[in-house]
Amino acid sequence: MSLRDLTINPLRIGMRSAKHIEPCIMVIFGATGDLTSRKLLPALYNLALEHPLPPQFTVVGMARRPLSHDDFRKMAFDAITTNSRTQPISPSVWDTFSKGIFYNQGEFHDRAAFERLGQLLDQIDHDRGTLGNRIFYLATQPEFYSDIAAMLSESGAARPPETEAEGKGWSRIVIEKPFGHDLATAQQLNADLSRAFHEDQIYRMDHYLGKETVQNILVFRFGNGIFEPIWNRRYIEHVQITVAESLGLEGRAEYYESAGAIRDILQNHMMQLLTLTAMEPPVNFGAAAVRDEKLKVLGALPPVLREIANDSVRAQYSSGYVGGVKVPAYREEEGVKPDSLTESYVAVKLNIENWRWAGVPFYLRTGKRLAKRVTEIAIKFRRPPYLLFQGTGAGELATDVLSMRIQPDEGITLRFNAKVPGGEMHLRAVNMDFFYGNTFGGTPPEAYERLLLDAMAGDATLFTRIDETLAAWRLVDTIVQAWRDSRSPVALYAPGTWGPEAADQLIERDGHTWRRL
Amino acid sequence: MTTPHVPLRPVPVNGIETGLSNLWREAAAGSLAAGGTVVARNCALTLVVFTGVEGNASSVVREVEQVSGQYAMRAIVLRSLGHMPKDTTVASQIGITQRDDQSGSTHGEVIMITTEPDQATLLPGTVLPLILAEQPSFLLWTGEPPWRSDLFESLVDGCDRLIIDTSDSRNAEKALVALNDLQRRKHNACIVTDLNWTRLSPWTELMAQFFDTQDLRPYLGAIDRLTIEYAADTDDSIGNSAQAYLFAGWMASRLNWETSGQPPAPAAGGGRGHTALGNGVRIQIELLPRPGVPQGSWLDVLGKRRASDGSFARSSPGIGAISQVGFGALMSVHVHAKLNGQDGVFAIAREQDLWHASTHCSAGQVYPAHTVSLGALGEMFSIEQQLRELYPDQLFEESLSAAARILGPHGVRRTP
Repeated sequence: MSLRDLTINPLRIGMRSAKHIEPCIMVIFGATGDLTSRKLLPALYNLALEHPLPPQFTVVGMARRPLSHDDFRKMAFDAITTNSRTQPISPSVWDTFSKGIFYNQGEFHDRAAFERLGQLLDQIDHDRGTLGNRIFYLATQPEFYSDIAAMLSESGAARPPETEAEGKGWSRIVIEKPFGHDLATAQQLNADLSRAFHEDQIYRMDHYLGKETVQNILVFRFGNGIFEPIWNRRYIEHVQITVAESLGLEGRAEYYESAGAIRDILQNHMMQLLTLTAMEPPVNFGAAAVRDEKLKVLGALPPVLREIANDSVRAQYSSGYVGGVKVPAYREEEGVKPDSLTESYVAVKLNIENWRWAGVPFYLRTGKRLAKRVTEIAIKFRRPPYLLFQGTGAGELATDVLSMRIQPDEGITLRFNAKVPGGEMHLRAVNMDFFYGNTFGGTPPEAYERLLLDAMAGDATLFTRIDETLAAWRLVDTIVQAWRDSRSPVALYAPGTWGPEAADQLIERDGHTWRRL
Repeated sequence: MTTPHVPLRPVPVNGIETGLSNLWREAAAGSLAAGGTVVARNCALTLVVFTGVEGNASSVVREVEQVSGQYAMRAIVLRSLGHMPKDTTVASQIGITQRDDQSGSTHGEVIMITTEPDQATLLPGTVLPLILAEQPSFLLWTGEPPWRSDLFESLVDGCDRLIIDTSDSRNAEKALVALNDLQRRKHNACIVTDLNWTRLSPWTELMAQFFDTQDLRPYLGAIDRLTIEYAADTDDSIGNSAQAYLFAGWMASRLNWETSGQPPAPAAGGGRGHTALGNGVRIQIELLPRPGVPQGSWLDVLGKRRASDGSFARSSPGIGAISQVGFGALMSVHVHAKLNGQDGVFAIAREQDLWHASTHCSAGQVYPAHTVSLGALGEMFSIEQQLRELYPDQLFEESLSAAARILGPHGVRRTP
């Protein structure tokens, strides 16, 4: 390394702590909200504690509530003390971290407030050496996204990508789901954002992608030589993806009523699990290559489901008992309309029409108030071509299943048939288990920590690109439109069960059954 | 917290594997019957720990139990004791450990093998068959290795990775040179590393961080002084300088400093002085012992740290003071450069609580400082960190080579 080449830091060469963060400011919109106090501030504190963030790193909160810098620091301290995974809080680390916390009060459509924000950011650049590098994190209600983006652009607080090349710093914007309500609103939101930010500057957050076990899907598939050769239509009979929650609305009725299970979970989290399971190997682990392959999967979903009424089910939970406690029906939940048609459960059968997956159905189901909280991807393999043990009293062979559990009990289980010891030929399905907790122990970092660090480092691999997002909305719109057109009824299911009978029928028509998890 | 799930129990040396199989079956059945957690045998690596000094064994075993649970491993602890039961040359015990955390329970197995010191040559033939097939194997050698001895070389050859701790050496400078020699000889057979290097990671990270700001990078070519202070006892004018030399070696290797290999000159404060040439600038390297800092072995420091708050250090890294640091711990690093007549100062100093460090940077202007927890950034997770690494660490190898070049053939003290 020649010291004449100072475009890279020679002291970084060879270091394994891969992601190095340039000095920057993170502006959090919705700074007094729940997401900021539960997730963002604790994650930033833990990053400062364990990585560490550069000394210049600065947090600026913006919200409507009138607060002084010190008020916001106090609020941040309380939030971190309550919600940080590392306890107790280090006074020394907090002392220097808190010196980089500021607050700017204002409405999200108030031009003057954004001009004050721009002045504050310029001042921080000057005083703390943050070099004009800015991340704008939108932890607000989605209806403010467009206004905030426009104001950031108009006020000059956010800068176009050309300024980075000029050495004047970079600007990035991080947006929480939901990104739109349907295809049209997502396109409109993207158009609004695009007036202020280039696609490379937009980081669409799906915190599922920050989970270690979700990232491990790629390692499992492409880091081992034994699975990829059988990862196709020749060996796989079908795939089941389940995201089950045992809880109800938990105070989120206002949002959930307008979203339902299909927008809340299927459009984003489940599409990510689907694409990671079905994608082709990317040419490298860079953002563009991974996202290109995910997009191809979404592009291979047929634009119109052939028999949408038969291939999807929507349902709501009725009243009943969970764990011995009476719970209300969905329509009886506070904030839910008595005649609501919003689904708390959705199941859908998808076909990926490409060379690898032709004829292999993917069954997806998600819902609230189900039997237990579990997220898994189950690969069911085809039976052996010749039933060798027929007539020996062995009974029917169970199909081999590879299940990847995302949460809880993160791990991988392979179910296969084994002979029961004894003189007779009895077969029994047995499990070969790998549990993360048993093998590695420890507590993995929070998904937010990983994703915030990636956004600061400019690594967009674990964020969704606009074409992925729009492709997922296209699918969801198709299903929702079909529900409307067919006036298909909203089925009911008892809380604490695995969903409605109609969902069982959906999969049984193909000769399969849902896994009992 | 890690606890013995099945306490150590004696077993004949030739019955270790059978004994362990029985132990796991017994533990699994017992746990099921009691409605406890699932006990799964799932060892992902072998850690062979040689502890030749009786007094050190308890803290080593404690540390091994901590990481044993963390990594679901087979830990083989080798002890060389001065007293053994009559007619016994090698004794062995086996047990199962359990570590509980938020993600569940992890179980590991421990094999303790004890010999008399003059019977230590029996160890390779006893230990090597116990290393798990097709799983990574690590040899952790505590204390001063008997460099080039048959025992040491046999165990090194039988493992994938050797972990030593130059903070345990009575003559750290000699240990660095010997380690560098071993690294060159074993390069294709066993990866060599030093826990002292891992402990440096917060210091190298903080130093590198100064120069993530592009405007400050030109100062790297204008460095004229590197001063490193490390902890030392009052009764030892030099102390253990291994960390300090490794840090200097890291700087020298990254910045292409040419070192003279000349004998070290006395530096102010009873330290050592070396010169190097970097980018045409003569650089003074000073390694200064800071006497009077309470020191102990790093394992003891870690043990006390854990004991003081009752939990594993990673989950509670942030508060309070520690009563001592490990032998030769860095206390401060101070880099001076002069660029176009302007002074640049880049400094990291351990705080009085010995647990945190603060930064200072001035170069035309004073830049924001910050205080970080050295423990949370890696100073306290040395073994855990090393067990993650399966491949050669080129940065360490180059830094060690550079440190050995700074020391030169003349820089090695005679063993007292």
